[in-house]
Amino acid sequence: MAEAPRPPLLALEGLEVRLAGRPVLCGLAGELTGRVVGLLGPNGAGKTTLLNTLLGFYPPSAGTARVLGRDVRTELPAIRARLGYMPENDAHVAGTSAVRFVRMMAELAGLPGKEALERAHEALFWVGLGEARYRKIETYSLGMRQLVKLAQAIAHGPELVLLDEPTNGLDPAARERMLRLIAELAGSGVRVILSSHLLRDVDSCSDQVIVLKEGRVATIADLAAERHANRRFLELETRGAEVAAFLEGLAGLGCEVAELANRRVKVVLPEGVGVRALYGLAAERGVELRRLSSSKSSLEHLFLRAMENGANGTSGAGAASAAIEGAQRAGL
Amino acid sequence: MPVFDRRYRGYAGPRRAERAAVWTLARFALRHLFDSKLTLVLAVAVGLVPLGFGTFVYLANNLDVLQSAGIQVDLSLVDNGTFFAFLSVQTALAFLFAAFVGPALVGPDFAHGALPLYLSRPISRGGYVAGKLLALLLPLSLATWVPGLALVGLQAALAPGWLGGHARVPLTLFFGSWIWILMVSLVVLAISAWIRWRPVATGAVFGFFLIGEAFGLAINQFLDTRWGSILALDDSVETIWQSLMGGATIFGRPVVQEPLPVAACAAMLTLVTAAALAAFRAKVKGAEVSR
Repeated sequence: MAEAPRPPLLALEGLEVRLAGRPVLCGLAGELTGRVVGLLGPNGAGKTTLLNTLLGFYPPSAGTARVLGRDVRTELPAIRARLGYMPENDAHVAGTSAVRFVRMMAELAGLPGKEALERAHEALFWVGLGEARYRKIETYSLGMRQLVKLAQAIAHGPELVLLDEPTNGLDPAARERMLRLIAELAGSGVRVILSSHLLRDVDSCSDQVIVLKEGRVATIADLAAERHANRRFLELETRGAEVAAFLEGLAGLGCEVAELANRRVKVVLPEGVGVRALYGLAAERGVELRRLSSSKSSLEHLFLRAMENGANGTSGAGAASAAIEGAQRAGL
Repeated sequence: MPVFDRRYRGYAGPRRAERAAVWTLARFALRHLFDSKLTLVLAVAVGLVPLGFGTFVYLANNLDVLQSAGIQVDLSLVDNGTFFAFLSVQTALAFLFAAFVGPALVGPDFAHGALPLYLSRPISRGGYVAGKLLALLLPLSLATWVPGLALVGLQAALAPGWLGGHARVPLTLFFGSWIWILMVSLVVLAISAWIRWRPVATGAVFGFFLIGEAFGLAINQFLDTRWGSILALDDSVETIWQSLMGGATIFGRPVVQEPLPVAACAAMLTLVTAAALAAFRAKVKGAEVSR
């Protein structure tokens, strides 16, 4: 028997949210199917508002959103029963030990007492707070509090976890640990929406991103395809009299080439052509390659492009070529 | 994810119905309350008074016990006034308990942003309010109408036929207690939600009741009226108790000397209870809206 199709993680259907009479989210539309979806945008773009709307804290003023196939307007309890949420700000009950706090949150999510207690211990060990689990949360460092928030978000075994700026205020080692935990969570089948303004965090975990700008969808992109395209995306700096012949040779190899200012060249390598071939061609044509670098990360390109354009759009593997065109237009 | 394994695993076991979350919330709130020594001390103090009244009721019905011990006393009969006094003392103690202990029920949630965590689970704002209210009403019930009805039961057992002539007493103990503890609980929770620092919240609870009374007295004084007394919530509730009981005297004097109309007192208490509920619920939000 064929397996039932998995519902999209998130489907936005003209979602509009007004707060205090002011539109904060304006006609968001699109479908997100990734396992880990990065929610990106500058401060004030509407990331946290979108998460709060998915949780039912803010009612949509128009349109709707479907989380795991369920409508936030009409099926909120069913959505909440499948969610885990880690808010951006400090969130705990003062005077409570971590294990009691996580157990309570698991019980409130519907687990029976015995199972909730077991899962609370396990979740705290999993995030690395096993030895400190009987301490009161207010005695924890900022990094430990972030981990407790993660533990309470996953202790009840949710299908989807919403993480709002999970690496906020963490030192590099704690940040790495948090990202590793998120990746492990995703690897075990839990779907994640990761909201962050840190591109590197999103880049390291996500396979799809939605970028918001001023309350609108700036772009939705498949990061796996972007990464694949971007691995072939290089920037060269050349010296020598035969640069034109070198560029012709590159085109002969099947590369897409864009000549920029100051003898810089952007190149998209076709399948089967490696960097070694570029060095060979340069030697053959008497051209000196002063610098050869991969371009910025695909996500950074994508984000900057989305911020420049700010229009609704869906991006795919053609982003690199589009970036070249953009760069040419801008005379970079 | 067993603790020795250190790998994440999902959960596919049983889950409870969503309505169970209200009781779960109340249970954890009660446990949190009784972690405090102050709560234990107040609970013991509140529990001692019914024991004293119970002893009185027993001795009043068994004077021979005292006489056999060589003690000659004339204990007045157990009547409406006895239970009115019990209700007055226990509801006053219940108020103290709620004022000192109640802010610990919601203050820690509001002070450290825990509300989004509660409300991201299958529990509504109303469910949160109900859970916290239940956590306060349970000990207050154990302080007021539960021992009150137990005392009535004791008296009825020791004096067969007594209940037939005092049928309003248990009704007054039950409904009279509920009117007071419901209002006090909601006022305490609402103030604690708006004022997150516990000592200040406790002070504000006292202030709410005392300032109302003082303001009422001032109105009576300056406007030469008795309607200012409607702001004295304890007087209003005593008026209702007296009406429910069909009159009660202590040492031969009516409990409330110049009562206001019962309907006016009931309207005032309803208004305060509803306003407190609305004020509490208004603060129970998953996310604030910045204006």
